[in-house]
Amino acid sequence: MTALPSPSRWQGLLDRHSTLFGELDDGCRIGIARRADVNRPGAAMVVWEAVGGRLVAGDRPFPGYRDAGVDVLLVGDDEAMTEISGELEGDALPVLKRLVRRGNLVCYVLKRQCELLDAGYEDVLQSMGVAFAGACR
Amino acid sequence: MTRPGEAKLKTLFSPTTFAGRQIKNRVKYGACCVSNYNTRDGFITPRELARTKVIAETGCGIITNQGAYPDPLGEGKAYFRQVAIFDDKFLPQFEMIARMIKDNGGMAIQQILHAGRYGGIDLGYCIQPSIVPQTLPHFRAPREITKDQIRQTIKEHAEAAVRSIKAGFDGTEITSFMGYLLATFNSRFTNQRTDEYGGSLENRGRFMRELIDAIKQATPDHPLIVRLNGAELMDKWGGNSEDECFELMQQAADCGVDMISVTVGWQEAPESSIGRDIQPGHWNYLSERAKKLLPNVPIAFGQRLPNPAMADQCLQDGIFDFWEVCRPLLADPKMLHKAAEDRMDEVRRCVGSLNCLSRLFRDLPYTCTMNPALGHEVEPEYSITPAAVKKNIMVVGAGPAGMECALTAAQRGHTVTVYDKNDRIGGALVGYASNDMANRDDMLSVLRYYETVAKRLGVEVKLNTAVDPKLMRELLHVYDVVVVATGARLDRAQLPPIEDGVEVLAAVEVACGRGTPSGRVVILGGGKVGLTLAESLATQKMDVTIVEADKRLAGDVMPSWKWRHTAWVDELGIPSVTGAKAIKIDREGVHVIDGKGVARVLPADTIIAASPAVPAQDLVHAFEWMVDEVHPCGDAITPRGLGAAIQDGYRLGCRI
Repeated sequence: MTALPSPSRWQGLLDRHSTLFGELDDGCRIGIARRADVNRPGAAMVVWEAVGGRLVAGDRPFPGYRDAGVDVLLVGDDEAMTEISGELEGDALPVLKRLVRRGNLVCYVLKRQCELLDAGYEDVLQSMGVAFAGACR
Repeated sequence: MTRPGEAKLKTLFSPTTFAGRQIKNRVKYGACCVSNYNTRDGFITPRELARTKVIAETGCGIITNQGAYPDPLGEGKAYFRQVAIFDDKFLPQFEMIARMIKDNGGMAIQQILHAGRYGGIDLGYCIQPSIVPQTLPHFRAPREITKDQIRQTIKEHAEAAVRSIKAGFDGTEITSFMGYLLATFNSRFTNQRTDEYGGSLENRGRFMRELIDAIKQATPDHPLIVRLNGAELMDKWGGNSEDECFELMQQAADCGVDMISVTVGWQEAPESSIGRDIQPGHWNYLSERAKKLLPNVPIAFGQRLPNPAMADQCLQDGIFDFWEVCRPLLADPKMLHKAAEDRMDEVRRCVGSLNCLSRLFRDLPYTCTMNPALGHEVEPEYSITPAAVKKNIMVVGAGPAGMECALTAAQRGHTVTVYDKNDRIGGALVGYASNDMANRDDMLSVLRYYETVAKRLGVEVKLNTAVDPKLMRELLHVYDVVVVATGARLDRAQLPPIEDGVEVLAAVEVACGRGTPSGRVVILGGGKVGLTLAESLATQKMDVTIVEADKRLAGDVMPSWKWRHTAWVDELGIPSVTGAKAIKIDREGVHVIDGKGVARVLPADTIIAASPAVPAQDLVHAFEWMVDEVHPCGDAITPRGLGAAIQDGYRLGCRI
């Protein structure tokens, strides 16, 4: 089973796309966890937090969906973690989008649409392939 | 006397029995869509009743009325104007609906719809078996349902079933798909409980079994239908496998449910289920499996199966017992009658645009791209009535707006002649249909419909005939009315400076086969026209790049379809430069300032412009003092799309 990449590995992606992520309000948080961990108390979660117009990667224990403390939570299966891990030193953003589209990465939203829009999430979620505007299929 | 189509589609039109009752044919009208035509507090309106009269007259053997929520709190309410059935005060209109259906020889079924994960639209939260967050941000944060609430919910469903029968319905239906409450208990994706309602499939199915049992006990002499997914399309996210879906069907059957309606997908599933990109018949195997598993339980099915001939064959092959159909009857409520009369070429086909669903989730009343009268049945202005004064009408432009206007006006007794400079009916739709990645035949069926019905109504169509002031002078006083349905054109004045000798082709012209791209292609405009053409060229292995001024592609694409285009662009590897301003076009290619403010040159052998578009309304001004009435129509008013074109044409045809 592939481990969740460490915060320092994610930081490169966040800095590479600083213009995109710079639209988020300070305090916005995006979490990433492994599907294998969501029912395991104390499992790790990487959190990207907007600070001073920049996303900074850190980690904290995953406390469950109810108390996750993030606005958006990406939960990936093992295939997702493997692919992401292989691409983080390159440009992993298209990989994230592909994985969301394929269903290997589930993008949970823990805030309402209006709140996410106000906080600057529209472009970020769009770039990750999320049907942000309530698209019906 | 047997009508010719009934003889051809013998099985479809053959009577049968269900739950001890005679059913006139093998067609079940499915409760596919809540209409949003009603009041905010759940009462059925005259608009709804007028619409339901049309449904009652479709000729279906079984008709399911749209889902009503059963709880006074509104946790089951998903849609802005969903009807309610939690109190007897709502019953008078339900009685009218049941009576309408039965007066037309149908069996009346009332769907009880608790929307679960998609519910609580007025409350700010939804209830689910477990707290699993939403993936679509327009839904509400979940709360975990308690055991007391489970018992209360089951009681409310049973009471709603009793009310349905009291109102005159013959039976009821509950639904476990789309992420509604029942589906959330059944699915591993949303049910992570550790009590007797969660964990194993046996436990996850407990809520369903208790619900079925409660309704059967409350209404023992009336059939209960349950809609269950044959495939959730959520398995990648940890949802049920197909095998688990069929085990749940077995559980429902063992509980004595009277019919299973096999469905596909969840609202939020990462795969398409009923859109235009799914080929008709794709999901039939699920129904076949259900029928093999449960040979003694009537099975209804119709997901992405819009064709009566295919349905008849499936019935003969034992794939299902009832063809469950909804959207094709939204598009053409007379479809079944036309099929019975062997007039399938006069059917307006559902093209799977999902305009209906898109509007629902924006709290709007549903409409249909193909049926401009849908939802307006209560308004006399939308009726096709004999014209008080019969007129000679010239329609300029044989695209959807012009043809819709022509056919509508002809039905009212006007004499109509359509002129078009091109060699076939269709206008810009020809280009779209010829290049559509999803289902070209659906779009081409629109053109075939216009061709067929124009002939039947005696509408003369003069192709290869351009209309201009010179022609109008020759035809002075021949026509009382001119409808200018000349669509939109490329606004070349808005293009960047173009070096002499460099040609920029119009995307619609290329799409319609009037212009051949070669080499490296750059398309200016990443809206629906540019995208459709780019995707088509890319599938022919051409080197295509899209330039779009907006920061996102697909700006003018219907909300339900944006994701499809952006996915195709990714899958086909079509480079796109968004947030870009084209500043010059020369022999090198297209010079742009991209979204980051960097100047770039996109090398091009062929440059195609899909935007900006402006209404082609020159003839409106040219004919103003030459003809009694001049009316612009469709994109000639302002460029929009197929649905607006058909709406405009119909309304104008009703009004002239």
